[in-house]
Amino acid sequence: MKVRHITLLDHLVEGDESVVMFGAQVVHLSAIPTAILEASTEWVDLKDLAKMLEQRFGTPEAGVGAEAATGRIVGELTQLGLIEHV
Amino acid sequence: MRVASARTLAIRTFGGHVLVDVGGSHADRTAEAVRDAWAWCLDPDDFDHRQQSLSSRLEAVLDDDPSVVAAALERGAVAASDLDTVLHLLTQAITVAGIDLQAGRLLMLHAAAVADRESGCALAVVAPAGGGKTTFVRSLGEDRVYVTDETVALTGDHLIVPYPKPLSIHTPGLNLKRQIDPRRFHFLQPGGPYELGALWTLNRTAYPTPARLERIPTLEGVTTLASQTSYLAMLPRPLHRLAATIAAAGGMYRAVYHEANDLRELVAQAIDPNPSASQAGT
Repeated sequence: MKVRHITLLDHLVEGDESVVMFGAQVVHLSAIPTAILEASTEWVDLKDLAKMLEQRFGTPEAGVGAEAATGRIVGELTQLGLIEHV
Repeated sequence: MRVASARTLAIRTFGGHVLVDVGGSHADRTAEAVRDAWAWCLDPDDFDHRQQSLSSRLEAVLDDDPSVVAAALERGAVAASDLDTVLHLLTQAITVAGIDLQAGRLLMLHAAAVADRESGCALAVVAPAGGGKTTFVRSLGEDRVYVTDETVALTGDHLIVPYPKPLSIHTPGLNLKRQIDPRRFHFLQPGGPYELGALWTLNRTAYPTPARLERIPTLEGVTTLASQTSYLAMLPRPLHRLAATIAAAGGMYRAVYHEANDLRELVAQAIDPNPSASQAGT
């Protein structure tokens, strides 16, 4: 699966976190969603995204693979309307 | 050629102009009441609004005949059969018109502001409807410049364009706010624009507590301001604009207090040129 973020009105990053504006919505994102957004300006494979996040933030909680954990967060961002996938 | 007349009033909003045509069987009384309430926002009678690109027009009708009121409402006028309602609705309509005129130009916060005439610095307090903005101005604006109790309009250089509209004060038992001429209070009339010297949100507690300021992290501040900003999406890089505004004000703070007067010393420290001297005088 490939993912990328939708067109953003603005994305303000401070440290690891950020605030993003899209449509009429303004959302405060924690570190991992912020990193996903920064890495998905163009289409990116979910596997590659998961590898990048694991390298940056370490292994997810026990029993959850990096790809599954990434997929879960990407799913939440998709529900918000921030991410699209093919 | 004069555009304004006894029944056409010219109101200056934040960088824009709204012409109000007053009609109905009580037009003269209505016009006089509007002139009084909006005294600090009136354009001169000989100001020609046809030369202004940022202007719009409203109609206000006060009439005893329900069919006249209904017809006026049908054509988009502000209309009612009692003066307080007309004035209440007209204030909302003028403010909305002023905001519409500046969409994409000014950063417009749902906020009140007072300024120190000597320092030229203003304190803007952001709060939603019913959050204490007008009470803040009434309590802490004495001998200070009354900038606005509703819309803080900021230029790209973080200067506030004054909007000294009538104070909108809730009246117990009535589902409207009375519109009070700011000259009735011990305010100073604004010249302006004013530098944004401090930026707070208002957090009133239900219980007595020592008044204090709590610093708000920038991203949280941006999110808070975004929810209290008109036409934010029409500004270039809107979130960055909000962050720059917070930085220009030296940070954003949450004012925690029980009664507005408890904030007196903190307000003086924020904008007065000699805070200790002004405190000695209180």
